[in-house]
Parts: sequence; structure tokens; C-alpha cells
Amino acid sequence: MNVSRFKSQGAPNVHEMSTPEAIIDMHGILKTFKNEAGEVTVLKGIDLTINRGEFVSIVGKSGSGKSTLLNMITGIDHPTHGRMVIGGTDIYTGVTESQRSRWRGRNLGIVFQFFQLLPMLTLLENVMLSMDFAEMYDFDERPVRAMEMLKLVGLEAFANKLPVLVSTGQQQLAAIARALACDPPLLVADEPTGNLDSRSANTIIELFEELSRGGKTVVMVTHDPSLTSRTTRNLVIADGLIVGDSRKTEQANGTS
Amino acid sequence: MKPRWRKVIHDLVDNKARTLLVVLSIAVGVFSIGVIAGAYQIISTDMSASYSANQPANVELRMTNFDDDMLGSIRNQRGVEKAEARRVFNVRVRVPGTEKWTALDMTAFDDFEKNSIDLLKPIEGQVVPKKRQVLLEQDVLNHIDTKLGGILEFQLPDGSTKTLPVVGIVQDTAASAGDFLASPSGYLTMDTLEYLGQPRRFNRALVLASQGGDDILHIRDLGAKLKDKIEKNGGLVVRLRFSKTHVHPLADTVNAILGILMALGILIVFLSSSLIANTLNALLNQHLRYIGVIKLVGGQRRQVFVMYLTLIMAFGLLALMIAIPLGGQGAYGLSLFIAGELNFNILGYRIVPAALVIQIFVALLVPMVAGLVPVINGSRITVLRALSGGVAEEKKYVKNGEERLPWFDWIQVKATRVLSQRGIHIPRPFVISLRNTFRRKNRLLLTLFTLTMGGAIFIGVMNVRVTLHSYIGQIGKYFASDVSVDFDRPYRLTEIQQKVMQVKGVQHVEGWQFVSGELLDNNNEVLENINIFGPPADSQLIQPLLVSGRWIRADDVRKLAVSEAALKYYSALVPGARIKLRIDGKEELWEVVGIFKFVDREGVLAYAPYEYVSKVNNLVNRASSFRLVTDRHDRPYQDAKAEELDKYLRDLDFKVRVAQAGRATLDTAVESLDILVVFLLVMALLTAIVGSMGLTGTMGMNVLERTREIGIMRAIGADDRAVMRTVIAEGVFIGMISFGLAVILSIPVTYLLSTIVSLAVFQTPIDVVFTYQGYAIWLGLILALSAVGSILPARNAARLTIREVLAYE
Repeated sequence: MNVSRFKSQGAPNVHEMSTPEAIIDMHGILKTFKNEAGEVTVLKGIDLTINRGEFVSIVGKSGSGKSTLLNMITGIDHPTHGRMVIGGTDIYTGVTESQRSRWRGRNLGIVFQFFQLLPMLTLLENVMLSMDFAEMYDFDERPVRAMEMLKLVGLEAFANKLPVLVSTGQQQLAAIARALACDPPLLVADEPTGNLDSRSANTIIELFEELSRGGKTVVMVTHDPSLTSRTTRNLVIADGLIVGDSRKTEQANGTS
Repeated sequence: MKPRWRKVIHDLVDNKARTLLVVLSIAVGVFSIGVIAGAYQIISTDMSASYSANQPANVELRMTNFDDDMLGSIRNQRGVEKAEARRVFNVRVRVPGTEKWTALDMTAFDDFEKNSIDLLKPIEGQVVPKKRQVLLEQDVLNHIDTKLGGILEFQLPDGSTKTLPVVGIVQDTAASAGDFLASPSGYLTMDTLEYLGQPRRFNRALVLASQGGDDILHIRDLGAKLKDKIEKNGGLVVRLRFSKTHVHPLADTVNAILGILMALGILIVFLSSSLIANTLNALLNQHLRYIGVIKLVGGQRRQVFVMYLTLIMAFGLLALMIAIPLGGQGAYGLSLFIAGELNFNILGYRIVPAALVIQIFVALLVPMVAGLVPVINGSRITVLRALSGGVAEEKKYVKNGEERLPWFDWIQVKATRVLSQRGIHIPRPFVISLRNTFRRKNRLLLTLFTLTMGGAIFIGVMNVRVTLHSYIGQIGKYFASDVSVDFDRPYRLTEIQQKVMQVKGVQHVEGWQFVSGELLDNNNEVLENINIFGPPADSQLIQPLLVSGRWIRADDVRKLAVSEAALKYYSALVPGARIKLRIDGKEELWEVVGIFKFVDREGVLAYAPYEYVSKVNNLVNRASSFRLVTDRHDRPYQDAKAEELDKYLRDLDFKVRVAQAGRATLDTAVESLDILVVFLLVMALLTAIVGSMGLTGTMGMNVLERTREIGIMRAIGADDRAVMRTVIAEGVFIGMISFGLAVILSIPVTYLLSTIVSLAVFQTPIDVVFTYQGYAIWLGLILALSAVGSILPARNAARLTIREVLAYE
């Protein structure tokens, strides 16, 4: 599905995934930033495969490179070296920023720490917007689909409110509804609970667990070690390298 | 250098695009005001100086043939300083071997070397022609393809032709002063007259008053006395013209036009000041964090205030560096252009001190005033607020314990929802554009102000253009003939009718007569010249614009319809009133039956029926001027028919003086008016440019402030086109709002401009005509300007990477 979505946008880089289950393949991802003080290598050659349906947490200290890694997955930033294949598509070779945005809209859902809803649109309109950009679903179907997504996160009563009139937790739920609007196979979240109270945070994580069980892949960067116990896989990153990768067994996951 | 001054320099240099925008927006206003103020000063000084330097005649007497004795008698009149005589006649000229004839007013001088009135200024070649040589006024070169050393072919009254060499090009500043419609001129000696079939007699006297050369009443009085004296001596004065020595006849008109341009220039300054206010507001908003830091480390309010005021002064100084030289050149260029059109000379390039002072004043003071509020607000901000970020958060307020939106935001959301419930779904990217438009309301208002004023003036100018043309068209209805043929002597109406009706395409012919005289006051003092046209009462060629009363009738005796200009002399004039005229030296009372609109540049115009005028002239059933109607009315056909009739009648031995297209005079008038309209349009376009700069600035600021939102849009799938569309749609939407407002505002602007211009040009208010053209062109222009004005900010928006957005967080 993902390949065909991207191909329809004219991107030529179709690649076989390393395994049939894999949705993200990273090969030697290196990222160097240059500034007046010199060069800083933030990611030092990361090789990583993430499978469909996994709920992955990425933890690490501030400056360890976890957000940069997430930016590589979302196509927000590009690696200095290495290849990133997502859903069978090399998203950095011969692809413009504009094409990548288009691809992202159809294949990825992103949830930010600061929610990033557009303040001039209602929650319903915010959810519909991603479908508009990605040209997913018929025009008249979009309001119905958006309302379904808001129901999924329990916000149907607030559909016609502007973000400024709902709580931060509700804003984050609306952001998740927006991320799900185009039914992407992959959901990426950068500190999604970092700005929320514990009750709201719990609601968000429960939602991610449910999505993961439903077959979506969820990749989440977090500072909160308590959340790692609820994910199926935990990656630890330090100084630009993955220094820990632990998977829970089916049984362990089921009893947790 | 103190760090805070270094910061001011950094602020100037670091964001070059912003500095350029502010500097250019100031410079446009300063440039415009510099051009207009400079041109106003140069023209008002040089126009009359150049005119008076050539010793213009105070009184010009157009007479029947006279000789040296009569000239002596004129010279002997008390109050006459100098008098000279000329012979002026109209003749058709062409370059040998070509088809096109051009009418020239030829002036024969008795002695070029002793000429001391209406001096000719040498441009090229000889100043004094010899026998069978001709000098040309420089304007002739615009009409005839000839040059110094060329040969011209002259058509004599009997139809034969003679050739003369062009030995000099001169400038005659008096030649067309006060008369847009005069024919171009040529000059020769009295010795050449016979060669061209003209009698060696004078028919024009030029008089210089010994005193009171700028007192029009004194000049008129002198003219009246001269006319009396001449007519007592057996001469006949057909027409009198009066001019002041030191005032160009068109000075009032030109000054009025420059006054309008000045008003528009001031408006542009105002418009650019709103642009400056917008930009400085955004700049201060961006700088709030810096201001917070400055205050945190001990900076005082006054120091912050002075820092940003210095920055504004620097913008003003940079704008001056651009606007002063360009404004000086522009003023000189505009003056040269007007001087060229009105045939006077500019005394040379110079910086006009008054214009310079105005420019400096405007460049430094206007931005200061425009930036004062943002700077005061910025310098007053608390450290806490400054450090927490200047960009305004979305607003909400609490009512009855419930959080609510401001009413305008609520209406927007509600409207979209209501439409959606009715099945009308507006695409969300477009909803973003619509709602973004109203997020910065003060900025929007200032932008709309500039765009709306630009649009209203543009549309207004286009309406004024059509209004002027329409009025000229209406005036043309007084002369609705296709061809007019004037003869050197009267012919029987039936004779001419019989002949010209045989020419293919001629459908109707009328013979007209004229009589001229003077309007007198109760003491028999001359008030003004009056020219009475005598068309047949049932003429098909006149559709008068009656202000009051009725048109002439065949049985009218000593009754006339008079133009509005008579109201200047008889303010209480109404139909039925009697006015005193002097015709052929006799005072008579004529009854005014109607008052009509007309262009009055030279005296008062009136109409009386041919049936009566022919009796006054003792030329019953005869006429020397005939008006023809043909089966087509376009100018090329009229020209062709005039040519054909001229040849046909000359071949039949009629003494044709001139045959010309009916539209010829009107077309010349329209050309003159178009020059004026071009000036107005240039000013309107300048306002439009300022407006689009304002829009570009606004969109640039909006994009800058919405970096985060643009990043979000990209993160959820917006490609370059989608981002650009959103920004451009907002710009175009602002353009469309301004268009709607401009349409409304253009109505009073049109009336105001039309009234000012018509009073300046026609001395009478005229009916305003609205044209869809101005609206259509402005709609296209504003759509293009707003799209173009938004493209650069939109491109910048599309280039933003999401990483930058995250960095913003």
C-alpha cells in the first residue's frame, strides 16, 4: 500500500525491505551538523529495523540524538550518509522536500510534544486538513472520517471548537486524531506526553497501545522511563549510537 | 562604538530584505513628493519667465488688411509702448512627393531684425529668412517629416503649388500659448507673400502696453480703445486677444494640474507611512526578546526608545540617498516634458531648495511619526512580557465562567460551520487563508488602506479620463460635421450645395456664418470678446448642452444662446435677460434665450440663427463656411473626403481656404487631455506600487510570524504548492477586499478629481461618467499585484524545512 501511495507521487525509489515484517530499515544513518564551532556528529551510523505492529520507545539523555533519529524517520531532516527505507521506499534519494511532505502526509502520522494544531482551525478542520493535503478520501467523505477519528479519541463534543478553547490533553488527543486521519501504517510521536498531566498522558499511551494492537507501528521518543514498560520494544540511544535494544516477549507483554 | 549602536547597525545590515522594503517604501513617497514639489517650483517659475522673456504682446488685434499708416496710428495711441504688424494666413503644406497636407499658420514679418514683440528663439539654422525662404516653429517637425534644409510645397489659394526651402528652426513661445488647438507655425518675410499668392498687406497687429502689462483690465481697456480708433479710421478688428506680460496664459491650468499631482504625492507619502508603520510594528515584535534582554541587563526605556528611533532615522536617511537624486531628475524630467508640450523653456537643471527641504522633512519626520507608537510600545514593554515572546497568542476571554472567542473569530468559525451544515464545505487550506487574513487586524487595516486608496485613485483616474473624453465628445456635438470647408470668400448656399452633393458619400451640407463683437458693461466698457456662430436654426449638426432656457429659432431677431462663460461677467444672467454687445462698432442689446455648456478659452461663445446673422453680415443666402455630413464618420474617411472635396472644389475654381476632417480639432483636444491623464495614471500607479509593496511586506511579516504553522502544514503533508497556495490565496483575498472597498471609495474620488480637473481645464464642472474599464483593469491589476506580492513570501514559506520549525520551538 505504501509503495503504491508513494509511486503515485512520482517517486522512483522502490526498495525491498530487509524482511517481510519490516516497515523501517535504516542502514548506516549518519548525521553531522555544521556550525561556526565546527562539526558535530549527532548520529554515528545507525543500523536499525522496525517491524510492522511494533510499539517502540526511544529513550536517551538530552542531546543523545533521539529527536534527530526521529526526524530521520519522519523525513523532517535528512541524513548526511546512509539509507532510510520506509515501507519499501528510499525517502532520501532523489526526492525533493516537497515530494517528501506529500509522502509523509499519506504514509506517516506525526504527534508533536506541543501538539501543533493550527490555531485558526477547529479540531474537526485540523483533522480534515491532513486529508486535504494528502488528497485522501473523497472531499465529502472527509468530514465524516474526521468525526470518526475525533470519536475514537473521545473529542466528538469538541469538534467545532478552536484549539485555544480546549485543554492541552484534548489538544494532544486531537493531534493524534489528525495523525490517524489518513490511516497511515506508521505513527511517530516526539515526547507526546511531555506537556501533559499524568491522567492525560495515560489516556494517550492507552490509545497508542490499542493502535499498536490494531496493527499500526508506533515509534515514540520519550524522557519518561515509566512509559518504556508499556511499549513492545525499547531502544536506548547515547552519543548518537543505539546502545540498548530490548524486546518484550509475547507473554511478558501480555502480563504487563 | 557602544554595543547598542552596533546593534542598530546590525539591525540595518542583517535583514537586508526588510531594510530594503522599509527604505524603498519611504523612498517611493519621498521621491513622488520630490518630483511634484520640484516640478511645481520649476514650472511655475520658468513657464512665465520663459514666456515673458520673449516679449509677448499684451494685445493682439486680428484685423482685415491694413497698411503702415494704420500701424502708425496704433503706435500713436496713448499707452502703447511698441506695436508691430504681421500678416498671418493659413496655408496647406506638404513635403514634395508625399500625399499628406498639413495646415500651417504662416506669419510674415516686415523686418525680422527689428522684431521686438513675440520674439522668435533660434533653435537651428538661420534666424532671418531671405526672400522665398521659410523658418519653421519646432512643433512643425512633429507634424511634417522635414528638417533644416528640406523643401516644402505650399498650396496657393488658386490650387497651384510653390516650394520654399526651410532655412531655420525657431521656437515661438507665444505661438500656441493658451490655445491647445492652434495650427503649427511658419515664418517668412513680406517679400515672399506675393510668391505665395498673398497680398503684401498686414492683418495682425501686436501691441505692447507701456505700463500695466500684468493688469488685465488695463490691457482690455487699451485693446478697446485701439479697436475704436482703428474702426474710426476705416479698419475692422475681427478679434482681440489679451495676454499678461509675466503670466503664461496656461499658468493657472498647469498650476491647478500640478496641485492635483501634489495632492496625490502627499497621499502617496501617507500610504507609504502606513507601510512603514506596519513594518516597524513587525520589527518591534520580532525584537521584543532583544528588548527584554536589553532591559534585563540594565537598559532603560529611554535608551531603547532612542535606539529604535535612531534605526528609523537611518531608514529615512537611506531613503533620502535614493529619493533626492531620483526626485531631482524626476522633477526636471517632468518639467521638461510639460515645457515641451506647452512650448516653453526650462532655465536648466537645478536642485530646488524647497523640494529638497520637503523631501528631508518627509523622509525623516513621516517614518518617525509612523514608527512612534510601535517604538513607544516596544520601549515600554516589561522584561517578563518581552522575554516570554512578542508574538501574540490566540485570544480568548471568559464570559459567565465559559471561555469564548472574540466575536469576529466566532463569526468566522460559525459561518464555516453553517455553510458546512448546508453541504457547502470550504477546503481547509482555503479556510486557513481566509482566517489568517483577519488575524492581524491592525496590519490588515493599514494594508487595506494603502491598497484601497491606490485602487480608488486608479479607478477614479480612469473615470476622469472617460469623463473628459465624454465631455469633449459632447462638445463635439456642437461641430458634428464630418468635413468642414472654409472659403476665402462667400458663395451662394445653393451653388455649394449643388456641387458638393455630387461628391460620393456627401449626404448633407449647411452654410454657416459668424459675427464677432464685444460684451459690454453698463458703461460701455469691454468685458470680453464674443464670437457668435450662425448655423441654420434647424441645424442637424448641433446638439447643445443647455444649462437653462432654449436653443435658437429661425425667427429670433437679436436673440442668442450664450455659453456659460458669460456668467463670469453677468453672474445673474438668466434666459430672457438682455446683454449689451458691440458689433461692427455699434452697441446693441441682444436677448439671451438660453445658456449652454462649452469650453471657453478664448472669449465667450454664442449662437444665433443663420437666418438673422446673415442679415447682420449682409450676406443672405450665402456663406464662406460650410459643414458637411458624409455617409461614414470615422477619422480616416473624413480625412479622405476632406482631401477629395478640397481638390474637387479647387478644380471648380472655388477659393478654398481649408477643408478638414470634422474630428481633427476634437482629436487634438483629446490628445492634449490624454497627456494630463497620463500624469494622473502615473501617480495612480505609484500609489498602486506602494500598495503592493505594503502587501508584500504584510505577507512577508505574516509568513515570518507563522513559520511554526507552515512547518506543521508541511509535517502533515503539505507540499510546496499547497503552502504557496495558502499564502498566495491570503494575499489575493486581501487584494479582493481592497478591490471591494476601492470600488466604493472610487465614487467620491471620481467626483472630486473630475470636479478639480474640469474646473482647471474647462472652467466649468462637468457630468461625471463611470467606465467599467477602470474597474476591470484594477481588478486584473490587483489580482496580479497581490499574487506577485505574495509569491516571494510564499516561496520563502515553501522553502522552510520542518527542522527549522522545530528549532523555532
